[in-house]
Amino acid sequence: MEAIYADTKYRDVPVEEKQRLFDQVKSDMRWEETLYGCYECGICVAACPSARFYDFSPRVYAQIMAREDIHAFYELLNDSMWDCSQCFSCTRCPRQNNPGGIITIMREVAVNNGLESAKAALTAYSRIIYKIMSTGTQVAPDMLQPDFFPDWGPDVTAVSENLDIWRRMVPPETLHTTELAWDVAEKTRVELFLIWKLTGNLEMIESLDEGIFMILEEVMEELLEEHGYDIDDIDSVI
Amino acid sequence: MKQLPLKAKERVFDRKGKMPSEHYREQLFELEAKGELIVHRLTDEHKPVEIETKFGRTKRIPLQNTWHHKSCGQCGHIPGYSTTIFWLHRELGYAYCDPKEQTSCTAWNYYASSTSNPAAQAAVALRNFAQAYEDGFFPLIHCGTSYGHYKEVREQLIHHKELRDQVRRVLDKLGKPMVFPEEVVHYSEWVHVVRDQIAERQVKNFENVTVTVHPACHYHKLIAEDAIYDSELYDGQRTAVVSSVVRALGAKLADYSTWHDCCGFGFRHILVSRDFSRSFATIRKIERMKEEADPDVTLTHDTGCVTTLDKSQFAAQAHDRKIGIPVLADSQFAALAMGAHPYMVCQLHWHGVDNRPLLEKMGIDHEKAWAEFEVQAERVKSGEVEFISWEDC
Amino acid sequence: MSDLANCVLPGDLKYHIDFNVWLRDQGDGTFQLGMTDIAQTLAGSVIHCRPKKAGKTIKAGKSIATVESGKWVGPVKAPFHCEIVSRNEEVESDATVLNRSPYSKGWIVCIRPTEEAGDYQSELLSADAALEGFRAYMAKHDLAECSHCDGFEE
Repeated sequence: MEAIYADTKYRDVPVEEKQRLFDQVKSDMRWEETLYGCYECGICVAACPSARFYDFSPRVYAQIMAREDIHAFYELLNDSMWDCSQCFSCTRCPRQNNPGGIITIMREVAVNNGLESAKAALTAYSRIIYKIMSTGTQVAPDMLQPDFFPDWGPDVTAVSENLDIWRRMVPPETLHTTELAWDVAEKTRVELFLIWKLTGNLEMIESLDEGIFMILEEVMEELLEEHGYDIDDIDSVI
Repeated sequence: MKQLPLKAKERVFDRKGKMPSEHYREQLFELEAKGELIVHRLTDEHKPVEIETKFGRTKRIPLQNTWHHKSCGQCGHIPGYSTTIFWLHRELGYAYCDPKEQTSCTAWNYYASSTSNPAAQAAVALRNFAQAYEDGFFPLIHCGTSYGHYKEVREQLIHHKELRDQVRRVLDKLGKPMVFPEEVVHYSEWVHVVRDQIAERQVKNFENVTVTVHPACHYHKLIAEDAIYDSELYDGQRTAVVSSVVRALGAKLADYSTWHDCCGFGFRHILVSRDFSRSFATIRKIERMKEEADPDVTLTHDTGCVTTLDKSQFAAQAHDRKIGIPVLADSQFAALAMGAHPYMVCQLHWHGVDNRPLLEKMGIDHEKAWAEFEVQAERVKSGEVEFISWEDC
Repeated sequence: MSDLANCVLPGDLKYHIDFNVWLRDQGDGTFQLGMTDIAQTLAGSVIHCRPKKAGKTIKAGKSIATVESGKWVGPVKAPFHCEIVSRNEEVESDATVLNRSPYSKGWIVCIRPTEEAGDYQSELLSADAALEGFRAYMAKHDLAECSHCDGFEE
């Protein structure tokens, strides 16, 4: 069966593959708390910020998943899913459904299965993944650069030009760094790296971005080695 | 017999109606009794204060001896936010711990990309909680998303034995105990609880300051029953945090029609698809506030909300949108009320929208303050001091 | 000097298109290596560059340095099996040199091919031979032309 839309940028797959992906979503631990049945009231759409600007509707997710329409599911999985802002305003649902929660699971399935659409959606974002996984903080002061945030205004330029001095002038000691949000203790980073290995998170990144995986694994390997761990000996325990 | 329908002011909203049967606190203690985990308790040393949540249940908020679980976005991009949270604790005399042994909750990434899984997220959370437990301080969460996410993790752990077992295996390898705090507490709940103490120390007059409040989605929409509500404020229909502080400090609390809307942060969008974030923030939040309330400032209590509302307004000028509302955190607002230095403490120079008119309305001489800041900057530039300390502020 | 949409590709260097790096034969069996003009344009303003330590052996295709800019982080990949002889300390202290002077002051490491490198020379192209490949590379990455910051040196 061909995709409905002529301009889809993702490839179509056999129905068995769509079923397999669908089953993965439904077998997730969180699934049973996300969908109790939808009667199409549209409250979720009214509350949803993404619905105002994207061709996106939380109600569609509840409906498609409830009807188990796996062809439509596959389209959602490759397309509008990434428009969701994960604000959970949709939990205003009178049936206590959680379309945002359905999407959290669907995204994880897409990433775990290395879908091209997931890689495309996360290309520009992959640097952040590297940052959070390798340092334990999501954004650093030195990310405030005018070429990355030109639309944030002249204060970004001012900050980037005075970054070192202005950071030294922030009183809390833990904030005396420009490379991380706060100074994370080395032992804590080791523990974080162990968590990534023990939960299979590092391996998940390999299917997403080979370059990021490479440098992330190297950073982790080095620090773990310094603390007496061999990265290859650490297997997932989940 | 009363004439129906009752007028709005005659209706009594009874929040103590039929309570849901399960309570996370009881469930945590049950798990502890079975030996599955340790509950990190609030004791007298924390001077806990009891308040009400959405359906009338009580929650206790620690005042002191807290372990400050910091926010990536605050510490990275809005350092005045974290600084004022600490400053308020110092000024009010409440001891705290600011740890280096803390990782991000990693939930910003989780909601942006789902490049994680429940076990990893729960392990990250519990590693932080175990650290706080070992350090002997009770966790106080700085970020709205961390807070909402940790409430979500709590629910997942309580309901899924398989997840608890997975996380236990991870923690065993780390040599850390399996600990969960009795309450997940957001710093804005702390500010709410000490608002009268802040008002006692208020030195600036805020009578002429009009404020709109933006509540963080992840504070009051994730695990919605666990958020502070007060029948005295909004008739208990909206969360009381932040708004209560505005009232306590004598400022004018103004309403606007899109109060319940998200700010448009989007987690991933704010970093790589910002056209959405700034369109939403400008059109649905800032413009509505400006048209309907014309506030001098908008306050919020979450990192992402401050970032989105503040940074979205610049580019909107290219489209002649009605913007220009300064954006602050409740802690910065409270600190300014108590006479905190706008630049040394509140670090307002990291913000986008010009907040100098606001400072003028608050009776703060920002030119003098900036000159003082520059004098201190010289001390750092010349190498006289390596860093500015609390004493310098 | 070859001409490609404002991109500088010095004629005395060799290039590896896929990994977007240049090599300078030092004449003593070692090669200096760095990012091309195209690579520095794609990366944007570089904030950090962390080359691996001297003495390390790197397999072909593996990371020899990590480069982080405002919008991108990724590996600089080794074009062949090699040992790192030395690394440029200057790029660690001021990474913007990679944008300003990618071919001279912005060299990243000095490497020596190991036995496993095999016939590595066949993978390296002269500036003229590399033109078509780089043109295709730029098209694939949606890059119209190279951009140079203030103080750019060729």
